[in-house]
Amino acid sequence: MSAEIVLEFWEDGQVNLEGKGFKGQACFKEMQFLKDALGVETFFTRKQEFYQAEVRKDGKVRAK
Amino acid sequence: MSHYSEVAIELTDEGCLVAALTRLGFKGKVEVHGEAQALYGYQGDLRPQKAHIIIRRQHVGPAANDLGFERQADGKYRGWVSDYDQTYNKYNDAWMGKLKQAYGVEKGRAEARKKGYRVSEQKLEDGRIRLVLRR
Repeated sequence: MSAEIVLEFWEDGQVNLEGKGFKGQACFKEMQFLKDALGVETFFTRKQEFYQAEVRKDGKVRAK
Repeated sequence: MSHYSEVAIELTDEGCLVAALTRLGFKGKVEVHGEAQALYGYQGDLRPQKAHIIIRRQHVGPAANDLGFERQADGKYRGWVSDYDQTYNKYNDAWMGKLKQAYGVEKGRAEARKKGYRVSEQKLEDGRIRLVLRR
């Protein structure tokens, strides 16, 4: 699955951001610019894939 | 899924705020000023508030006052909406929420494009607007 970011904007001025298909902290890095641009983060949670190791291009596994 | 966040939207971007007001039906009716300008009441009376982004009262509704957004020292816009227009012309908290929704969509699209994302937009039945960002 290719990585994507889904934003759902509610009519009360809240937005939910969800990273899908990212491994590890890449999700944080990819989504931070949106959080910074949109407002103030009020809640976040890590999902299972956050704790999966990143396999780098050189084949090494980066520990979490 | 690896990460889930909720963000409360703040109005900080002039262009996206104008675009959001356009989405809500004010196309071609939004004034933008470098310096804050006076707001006027329904009888042409000068009001104490000033704003950088203004919708004049003739576009707001019956017996309406000017509606404005003033840029604060911290870069955030503060909305000036009279009590009358909140009550009788429906520019209330619910409308402000929809404005923030429209602003967020515009801001999200703009920032994502800067980063090289392709963006698709979908309006959902419950009123939410979904953006999907892919490279």
